[in-house]
Amino acid sequence: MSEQSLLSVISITKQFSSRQGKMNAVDNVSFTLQKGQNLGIVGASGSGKSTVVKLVQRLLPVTSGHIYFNGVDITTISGRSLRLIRRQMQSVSQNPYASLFPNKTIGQNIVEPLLIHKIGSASERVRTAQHLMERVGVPSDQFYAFPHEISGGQQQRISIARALALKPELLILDEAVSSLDVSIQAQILHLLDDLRHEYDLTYIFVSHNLAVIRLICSQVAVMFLGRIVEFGPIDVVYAAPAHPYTRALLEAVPDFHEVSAANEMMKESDPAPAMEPPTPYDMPSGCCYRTLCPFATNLCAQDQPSLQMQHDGRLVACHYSELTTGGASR
Amino acid sequence: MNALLEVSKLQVQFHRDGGISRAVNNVSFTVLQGQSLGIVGESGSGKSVTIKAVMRLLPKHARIEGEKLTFLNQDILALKEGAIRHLRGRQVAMIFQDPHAYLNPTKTIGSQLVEPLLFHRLATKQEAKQRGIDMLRQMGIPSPELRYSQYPFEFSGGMLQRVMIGMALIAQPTLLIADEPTTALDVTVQAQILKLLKKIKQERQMSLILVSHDLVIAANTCDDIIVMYGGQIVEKLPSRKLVQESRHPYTRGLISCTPTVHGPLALPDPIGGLPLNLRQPLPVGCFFAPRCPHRFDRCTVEQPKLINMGNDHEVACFLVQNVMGGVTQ
Amino acid sequence: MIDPFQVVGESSNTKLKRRSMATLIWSRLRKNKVAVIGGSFVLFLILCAIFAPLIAPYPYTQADFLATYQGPSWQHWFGTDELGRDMLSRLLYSLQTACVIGFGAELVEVTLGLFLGAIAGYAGGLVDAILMRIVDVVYGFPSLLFSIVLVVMLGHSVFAILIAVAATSWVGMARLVRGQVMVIKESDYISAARGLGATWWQILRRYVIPNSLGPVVVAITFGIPANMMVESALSLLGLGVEPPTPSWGALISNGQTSLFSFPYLLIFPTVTFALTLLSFTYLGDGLRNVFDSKSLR
Repeated sequence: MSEQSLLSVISITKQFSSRQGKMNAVDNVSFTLQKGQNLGIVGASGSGKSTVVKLVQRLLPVTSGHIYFNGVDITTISGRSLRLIRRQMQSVSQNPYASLFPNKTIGQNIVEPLLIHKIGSASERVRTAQHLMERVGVPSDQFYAFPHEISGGQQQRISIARALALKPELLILDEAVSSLDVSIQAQILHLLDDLRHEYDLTYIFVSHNLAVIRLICSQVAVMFLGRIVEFGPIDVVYAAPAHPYTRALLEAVPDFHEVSAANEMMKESDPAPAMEPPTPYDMPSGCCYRTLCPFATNLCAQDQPSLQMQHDGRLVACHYSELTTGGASR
Repeated sequence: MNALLEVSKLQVQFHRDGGISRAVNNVSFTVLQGQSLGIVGESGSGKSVTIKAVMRLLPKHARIEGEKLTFLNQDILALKEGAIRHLRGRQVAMIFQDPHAYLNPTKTIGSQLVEPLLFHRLATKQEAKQRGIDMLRQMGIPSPELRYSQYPFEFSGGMLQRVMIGMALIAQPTLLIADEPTTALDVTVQAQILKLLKKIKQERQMSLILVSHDLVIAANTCDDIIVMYGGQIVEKLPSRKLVQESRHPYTRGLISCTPTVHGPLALPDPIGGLPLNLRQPLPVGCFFAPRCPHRFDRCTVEQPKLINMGNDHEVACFLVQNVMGGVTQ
Repeated sequence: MIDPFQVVGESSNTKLKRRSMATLIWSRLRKNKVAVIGGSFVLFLILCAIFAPLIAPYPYTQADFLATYQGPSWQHWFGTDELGRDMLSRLLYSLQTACVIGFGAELVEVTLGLFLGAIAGYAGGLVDAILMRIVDVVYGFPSLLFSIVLVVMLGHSVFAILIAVAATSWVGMARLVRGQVMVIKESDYISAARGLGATWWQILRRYVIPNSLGPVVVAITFGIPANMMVESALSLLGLGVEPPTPSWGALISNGQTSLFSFPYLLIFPTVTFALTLLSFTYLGDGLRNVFDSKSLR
């Protein structure tokens, strides 16, 4: 793998065993991330998108595969070297209230990472925290407010400030704006966009919301049942999705443009009969999407398609990607 | 068309720990037979409380007042407990965000599905089973006979929400209230459920109230939209006019804040500030004024009333009133 | 366009003073009148116990055979017993004994319970299995019987009784702490702490233990009076601290014998005992309400 890429993930697999048997939450996932190129990971619940970033952060051990961060293999490191890597790789989670330390005030929450890594003197740490609070838009005179005393949007700002305290290179945002109201979500997106330039950050943005990912990321990985089915520059993928699943996802996102035509459209498009999506415990043979795919053939049942490089620079895991590529028909 | 549900000057307050939370302030609206109405607002806008007040589902410490609160001309607030239960089960049905919370994990889907029929003595056991299986089929659930005797854990979230809708419809209500029915679902499943809701609404000539935080979803599903802020209605208009003709700065803000996959590739313009805290004393003027980019002096001292702009479009904003030259209702 | 990051509506105009979790808990507890009264009475009892040698009008062993079985008077507020010993003094000293055993045994319990419970819950796996089997075995003993056996083996010193009381009750604390730790271990903020690069020891000390303390504090306020109960039960059975050191149980059992002729000998010890237990209970209830409230988790 090239030395300059910030993160490369090479065929990582995560297997969980439970009473229902073994299942691959993440199945042979590979991607590389260059500095400054934000990556969006989209997929439905259970697609393994959150597990991927937990593996990257080393919060879970991988079953197989390798993870390189700045050219260093971090797959099995532990102790001091792992803690040093974690300084450069921070995350913000979906539920800010649950992820802030409840026994510390919001200011102390930002001080905590500095304390953990013994950075600076006590007064320097407080000054850094106050500066970060102001930067993310929470008045620093609220230093001694407890997490439960501020609103959800403010909590998420504090989470972001805490993640920035160690000056990381990579910031993983796991559904970081999903639980916020749209008006607050827009504020946070602006903040993230400003911070990216200011702190020279690279984001991995995990979300089920394709519209949000599009605004922040330059690349997108679409996941289905633990596998990446399409990966590429966001404008290419969104303009003409190549994998049937990407296409279904994009078509399902509601849009204001449909509103006026909504009632006319009704008559022609009857709701499709519901199909129970496959679960990781009973993976279909061959292509994992074939049971839902309108284009599936015998080949799809026999052969699992691998990610193939297309002429426009994206990767698609579909036997018929040349045929299916086309605008999200509107 | 007849008015099915009429709400006029509804107020809901919660008194607790010595404080007052003014959740709903002077809300009036009407749902006609066969109409679908979307109630949209962010957390704390009072949208869910409004609906729960109408269905008398609020806890005891909630104080509900209203000039008028009627369903088919029966005064809802005056109904006895038995009558309200009859109303809720037969004439008005509700579905919620999390189907798991409303289904009994130890009973089969079928037995829960036909419960309303047996409870209100609308069918015999055999008839009920047949109607239950038919209902599952109509909801687009494959192999309904098999599914009828399965348990909730054997269903995915989207399937369960279909079952919930079926359960709500089985007693053939005149009004269906859906409170964030798709918020917990994946986007592809959400699209299916919304299509299903629209289809059954049309086929059965039933009224629908959809409560949602998502303006796009509500506008795509409903004929008319109510936008709420701070427990008040700020704008009321037909969905098809939403994008082009909505006037309230909050509605405009919501539209520009909502990211879409085909919109401009620029970050959405945020609405500044924080949502109104209903536990603190309310502002004297317009509730949205502290966050409004267009506010002027009058906004902070006086509260705008809902002004009828014609063609079922009502706005509570002085900006509009200025342009209109002060036409009042 | 107003600044999107400007904060409106939140009480940002007042600078918050420096404060900690403890001040937050105190400000909540203060609102609960009954708990405050209970807590004040507990504090009063502790002070009485500490300063018993100064307050007590007579030494607790001083007998006065000319003044046996005297009713309450200005000289002897709570009267005298069959040997003419001042009951108030004896009560104060028995309070001291009760406090030493109640608090001392609780200290042993908390130390053991917190240490073993936290390790079992946090480490999980084999360590958890082994520690919890030990706990199960101790839990299986009939506790009073076990205490009696220990007293018989160890003697009647205050220290021996303290150990006998603590020996059985630490397991409850260990189970409580383990349960707390296991819940906290799975919480988002612990995973956040790992992501921040904290070591397991930092996580245990800075986040797991502080956040599991709420129920522990409540359990302590209920545990102390429970220990006092065990102590007096042992005394009642004649297995308590060696006379002449006074103990509640001994006073009550003594008063029992002359219930009809000299009721005050029974009434004063039982009433103060009941008041003590009651005030601990009210304090504990108040604390539990504070910790149970949603916003404190």
